[in-house]
Amino acid sequence: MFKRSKKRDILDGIYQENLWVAGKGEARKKVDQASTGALEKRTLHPLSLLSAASIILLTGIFTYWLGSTSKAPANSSTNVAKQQTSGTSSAKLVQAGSKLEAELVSIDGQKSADSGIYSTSLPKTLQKKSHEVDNLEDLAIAKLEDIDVDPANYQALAESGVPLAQLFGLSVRTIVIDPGHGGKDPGAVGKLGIYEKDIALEIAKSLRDRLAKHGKYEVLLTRESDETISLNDRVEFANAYNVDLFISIHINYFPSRQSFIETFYFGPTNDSKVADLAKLENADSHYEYGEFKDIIQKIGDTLKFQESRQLAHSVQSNLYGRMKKINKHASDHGIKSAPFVVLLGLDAPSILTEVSCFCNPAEEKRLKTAKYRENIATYLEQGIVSYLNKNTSLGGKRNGEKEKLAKAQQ
Amino acid sequence: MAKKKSSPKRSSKMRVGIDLGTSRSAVSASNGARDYVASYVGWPKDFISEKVLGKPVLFGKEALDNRLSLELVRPLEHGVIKEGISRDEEAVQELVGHLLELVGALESQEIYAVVGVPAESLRANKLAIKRAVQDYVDSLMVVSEPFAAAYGRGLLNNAIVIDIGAGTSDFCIMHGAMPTEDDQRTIQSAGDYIDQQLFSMMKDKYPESDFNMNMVRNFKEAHSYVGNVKGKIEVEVPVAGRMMIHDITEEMGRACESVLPAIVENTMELIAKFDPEYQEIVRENIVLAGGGSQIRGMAKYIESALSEDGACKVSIVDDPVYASADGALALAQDMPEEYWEDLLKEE
Repeated sequence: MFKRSKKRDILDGIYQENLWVAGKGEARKKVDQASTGALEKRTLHPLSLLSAASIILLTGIFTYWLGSTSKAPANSSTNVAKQQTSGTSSAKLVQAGSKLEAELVSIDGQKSADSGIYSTSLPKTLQKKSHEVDNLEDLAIAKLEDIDVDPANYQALAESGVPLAQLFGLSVRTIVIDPGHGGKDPGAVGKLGIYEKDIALEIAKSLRDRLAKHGKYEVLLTRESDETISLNDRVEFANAYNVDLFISIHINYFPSRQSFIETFYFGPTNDSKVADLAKLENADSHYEYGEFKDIIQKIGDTLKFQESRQLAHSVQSNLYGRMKKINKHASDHGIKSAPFVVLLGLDAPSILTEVSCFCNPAEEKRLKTAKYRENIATYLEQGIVSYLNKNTSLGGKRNGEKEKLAKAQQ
Repeated sequence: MAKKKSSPKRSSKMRVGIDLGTSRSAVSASNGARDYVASYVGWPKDFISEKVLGKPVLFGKEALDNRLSLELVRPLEHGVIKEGISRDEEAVQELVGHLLELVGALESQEIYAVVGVPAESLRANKLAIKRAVQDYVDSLMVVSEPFAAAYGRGLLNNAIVIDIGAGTSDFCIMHGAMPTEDDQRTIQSAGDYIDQQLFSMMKDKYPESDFNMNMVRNFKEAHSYVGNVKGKIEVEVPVAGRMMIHDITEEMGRACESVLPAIVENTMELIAKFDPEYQEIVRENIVLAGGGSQIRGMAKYIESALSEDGACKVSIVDDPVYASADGALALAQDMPEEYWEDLLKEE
């Protein structure tokens, strides 16, 4: 029999939670985290991304402020900043006299090599007034409401129609491939006795070799052999190498006629939830510099979310589109966001793809053949490369655009 | 029912539990009445429509049946009010007023309501629900739907409730205390996802046939199954204006099964997080609620999949459509009076 006192505790818990929702009680930590998990629980976005985001944001505000106090050329917003994007170095802004251009130098004072990557202008909603700010330092410590950067405006950045990776001119250099499970953890075990850990490793190795041939990326595996590696260690490994893209390979398990193919990505269920959360929970607040960092992190999270979703979409559509030609039972389960530790803990765009399924003996037999596994690796490669070509500064088209932009600006 | 006006004195009290669902919304009241309605709200498009229909606003099936004359809104998406669309918030308000009318609530009564929301709803979503409901009630609380279902069935310890709705499937593991966010999950593998899959599969198989999502939803509600089914599932769909028989047996099975991997995986993960000493007990106490639990073979199929890792028992609540609303009512009735008073809306 359930004790009355326990029941009262439950009712009390509901009451407390509703007080909090109504804004009449203190935030319950657990609940608060649940609501804002997408913003607060994850580790910080890569320093480089955050630096880039904050610098671009600050530069946009600063440039606008300069523009409002000195007569700027009409096209000034097209050349806000040149940005160094090499992974680890921090950067600072150097004001170039009265010119409406700021360029980044690395922390040791060396002028960065021109990466050929330029930011575009910030959305107008972010280019709001900055009154009584004499220099960047003042700007940095100014209260947020003074510079009128509403927390909700980061959403405007996300919705500006320009993918954030393109907006910030980010590139992909290091790809980490994570063969799921391993060692003591076999993952799913098929009816014919094959292990998910083995199939995932074989596909991961093939994918690594295929991507390495492009000559543009450093491709790493979280494990090279049948060894036990915790999820945390995989995350730490990837972050330690400043991963730009993370792909975890798994095999589904579910008794069925179909072979389920699905891809999961990091992120909240949709952007609007985050936006509304920001609006509602911050509407009456007075933000100071500390909160400014949170906004920057939100931009970083939005970036990771956007990119992970696009990567997932590209991989899933390529994988399923081609798999269904060689396996009539392939079933498209689409892309989904999910709270997998290995996705949440990463600083970079990340996906977990269930490339096939131990769903019936026929599919298991196919997975046992090297050719079938190689096919899967090829489809994954096509999905990844297709994403890279469309979405990052390593894509040929984007580079071409940037070169044109650079020439126009000189 | 008209919106509440500022009035300090009420003739009597009524407690209600409301389950605002993407597909259908249910209400249970302390006077013993309960009802449900498809979550559609429609306003006549113009003066002529209003004259023909004879009502300023229509709900549920009636709204759906007259959709050509209406501005039709399905205001809930994934179990929460669609973001930033005032018409949807207005529609939820109308829907709540209609639900209260259905159970005979009077404007003169003091109404205390508990409303079920998806397990992982954000505070923003809860506030949106509160805004929509508060004009009709005196005091209001929101709780997670699977928790409400668990509470209503007395499943407060060593149990998992899976509420398979239209917009979301919600999980709640009960361990004798107020569930935290770690104990609850919301995924979007649910009824609407099945509809989309079935629609897509039917389009692939019968590209010349003419059908819409509403027809597909009706096919699902009439014929859904997972596992094996006896005989064929045949439906009538127009092709070039003529009604033709279509065999959708395989498509129906595949579409319904498409939500299972995510449901099974999340159930396994919740079990794995439970105290290992009690995992065996929890495995024997998995309960399905919500409209999705009515898919033929669902409980058996999930039980079979989970049994790969050890014995388990999956059952369905007696009255899946009302499980959350009944549970919300039970909470409303058990909640101490002083708690309600603290949450009385500010005049």
